[in-house]
Amino acid sequence: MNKKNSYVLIHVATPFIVLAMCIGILLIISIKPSDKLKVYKNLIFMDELKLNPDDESIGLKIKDNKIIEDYKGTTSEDGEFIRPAYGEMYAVMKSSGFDLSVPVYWGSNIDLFERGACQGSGSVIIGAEGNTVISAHEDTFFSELSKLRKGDTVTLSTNYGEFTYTVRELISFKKDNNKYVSPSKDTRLTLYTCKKDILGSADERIGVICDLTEKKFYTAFKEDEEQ
Amino acid sequence: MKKVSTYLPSLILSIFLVLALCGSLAMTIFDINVTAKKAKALSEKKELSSKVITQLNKHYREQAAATGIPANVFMDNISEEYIDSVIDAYIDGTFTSMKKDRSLNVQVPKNPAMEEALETFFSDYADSIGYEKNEAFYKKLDNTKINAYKNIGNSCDVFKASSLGKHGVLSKASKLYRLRPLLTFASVGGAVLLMLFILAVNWKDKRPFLYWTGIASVIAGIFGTVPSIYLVSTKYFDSFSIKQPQVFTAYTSSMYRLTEAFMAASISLFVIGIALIVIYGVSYGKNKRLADSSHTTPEKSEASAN
Amino acid sequence: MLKKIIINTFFGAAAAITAVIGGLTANATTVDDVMAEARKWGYPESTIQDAYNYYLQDPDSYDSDDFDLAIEKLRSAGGNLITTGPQKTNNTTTTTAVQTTAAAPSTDKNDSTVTTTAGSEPAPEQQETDIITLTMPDGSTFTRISKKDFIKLSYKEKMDYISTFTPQQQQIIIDNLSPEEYRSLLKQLPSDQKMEVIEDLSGAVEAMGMNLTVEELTDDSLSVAMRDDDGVLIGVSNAGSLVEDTGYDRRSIFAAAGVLFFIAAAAALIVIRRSFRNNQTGDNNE
Repeated sequence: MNKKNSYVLIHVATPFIVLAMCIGILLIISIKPSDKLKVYKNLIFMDELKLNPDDESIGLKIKDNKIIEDYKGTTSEDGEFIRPAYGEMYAVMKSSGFDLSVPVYWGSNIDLFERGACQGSGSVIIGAEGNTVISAHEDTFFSELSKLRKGDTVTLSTNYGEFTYTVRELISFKKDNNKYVSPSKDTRLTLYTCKKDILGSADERIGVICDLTEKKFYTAFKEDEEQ
Repeated sequence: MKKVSTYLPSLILSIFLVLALCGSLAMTIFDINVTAKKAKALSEKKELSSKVITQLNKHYREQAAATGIPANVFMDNISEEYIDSVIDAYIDGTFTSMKKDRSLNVQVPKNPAMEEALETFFSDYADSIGYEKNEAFYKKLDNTKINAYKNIGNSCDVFKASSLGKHGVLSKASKLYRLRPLLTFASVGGAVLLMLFILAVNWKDKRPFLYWTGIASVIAGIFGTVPSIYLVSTKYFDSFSIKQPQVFTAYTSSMYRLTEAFMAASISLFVIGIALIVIYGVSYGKNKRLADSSHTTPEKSEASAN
Repeated sequence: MLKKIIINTFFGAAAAITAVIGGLTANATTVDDVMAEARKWGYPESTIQDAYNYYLQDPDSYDSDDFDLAIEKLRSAGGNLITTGPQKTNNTTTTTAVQTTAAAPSTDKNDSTVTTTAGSEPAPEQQETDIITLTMPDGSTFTRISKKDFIKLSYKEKMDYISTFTPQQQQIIIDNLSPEEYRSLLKQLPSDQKMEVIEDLSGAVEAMGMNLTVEELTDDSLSVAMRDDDGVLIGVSNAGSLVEDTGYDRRSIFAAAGVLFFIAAAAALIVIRRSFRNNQTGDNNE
């Protein structure tokens, strides 16, 4: 009888043992692919194709814009900024160190971080004097930030111009240190994200500081209006 | 399964076999369904061309006030067959780009009727207002034609390949697409190899091989079936918030098709697994009855002797 | 869920300042004057930048009247931050950095001095470790601890230290606090007092048709959201840490996986021990 019971136990318990182990393994190995899928989904439908469900509970209106990336008209070192509203996508970031483009939203919020990189509204607009601070999730849009090295370029395309920054310094700081994200007198771009931590949400941040090396304000629109 | 020395390795191998079966199922479905032919067939089945025409009509009606060109100048010469040909051109271009890992390059098929209609309209209008048909006139006409093809192309790019390419996603997809035969072979080969290992471990008594392979198939089938049923029954992909109807239909239909194919294959795998377990159970029970009957025979002899 | 309470917050002036900017009366004042005033009262630079960015979205809708009111409200709010009170001569302020009592008036000209009377501009910067000498309207002088030492004190210690002076001396000290000292006061202000301090600014924000909502309020941090009449989020201002949380917390996934692995391993062990031990016993019996 004992033998019979033990055979039953083996044959019944074993599938559940295998199932539990496989679920555990699948939970872990599906983390990265799901992050990547989230990024790709946002990138594919970035160009004003998305109907963004507004977050009624907090009044956030997310607006995706078609950003000019193939401008062929005249440019100038000086020009006017087009100031975005909170929750508005106003730039696309590309870099020699990134494979993918990254949409940049004005303002930072949990929902906006799911859609792209976020610029703190307490920093200066792209191309202006001062510290432009942009951050994104380490698992998604800034997964390649750690690949940037000194000398790499970061190009930010907006609807008022294209601005190229060159990486000057790699930085690392604690979450409670505002030194790199506070306004500055010199013109710079600060990109940062969480340091890679297998459990996520680390206290340490890594990033880069870049100097503005090229400014191209789009001037053709103004000329067209004047004509 | 009488010994730990067979049970434990078989247990570990079956865990890996589940993952290998899931992977090989996914890669096989991907390999079969993600092709230009299937994409074109889907486009035709879902009548994407009519959705594109509706959108183009709306666009040209809205633009008519600004451009001065009535919508019918364009739309009277854009047929569903023509739109189908443009959609097919984009699909072919996308898959060519992925196969050869190069940037997207699609030539929108020419529409001589539309070009002629535009030329006629421009000419008649110029005549009516006494406008000289100089270089600027012909440049404007050419630009109008170029923009028309651009608009048609944008609308017919139902899988947004141009957007994929612009943002770097196409190159990632291209990598996966070019590796898919290797990945399919590796995953299927891996599954077969693991089954052989399980057979080797259970060489003395091969029946447990049926059991281990069976439960691995059942569990892999469950992993494929349950999420697929959830996605299809809750119409999960309908929650994609995409403005353009043809893009929405193209993507959601493709997702549903892949999910349904995966679900069907997973259910098949589940059934195969159940069958293997039943066969094992039957053979085990038969063997046990034989073993029991051979144990009682000496006792009967003793009893008869007594 | 957000608490839909209209509150005035000192740090929420990022929204408040810009909101206040609209609809006031003019005196040829500019936005730069408002920013300078805000700096003087110790507002964080990021908060000021936030307000400036918002102003720049539609600069034509503001005039110098608006800026005047903004400055007035900043001064009023700043004045509420620290006020004079009765002298408490028994208080001694002790910290690890400094031990001091109210200093007697001094006419020693060799001291580094802040030569000032009530209402005048602050004197040039000094060495941070120097005792600061202040001048009363009647010409007499008195000393107070250095800027650096003052900043190191806790909020209560600051209040206790100030109260060791006469009310007139207290006013002189308050009038001559540096932006860094105000900032330290702002940071240390208890949550309930943070809410009280911004009463003036709140009224002006409401007059602009906007609402302030506190998203997060602790002694160490404050986050305020500004919304228009339709409830649309216009901006969020954070005081305290400006560094975002840019990582997903995966601990729950790993914990779940860990639990499953543990259960599976434990079950396998039990199965092996019970089943194969029983099998061996059965075999032995045979």
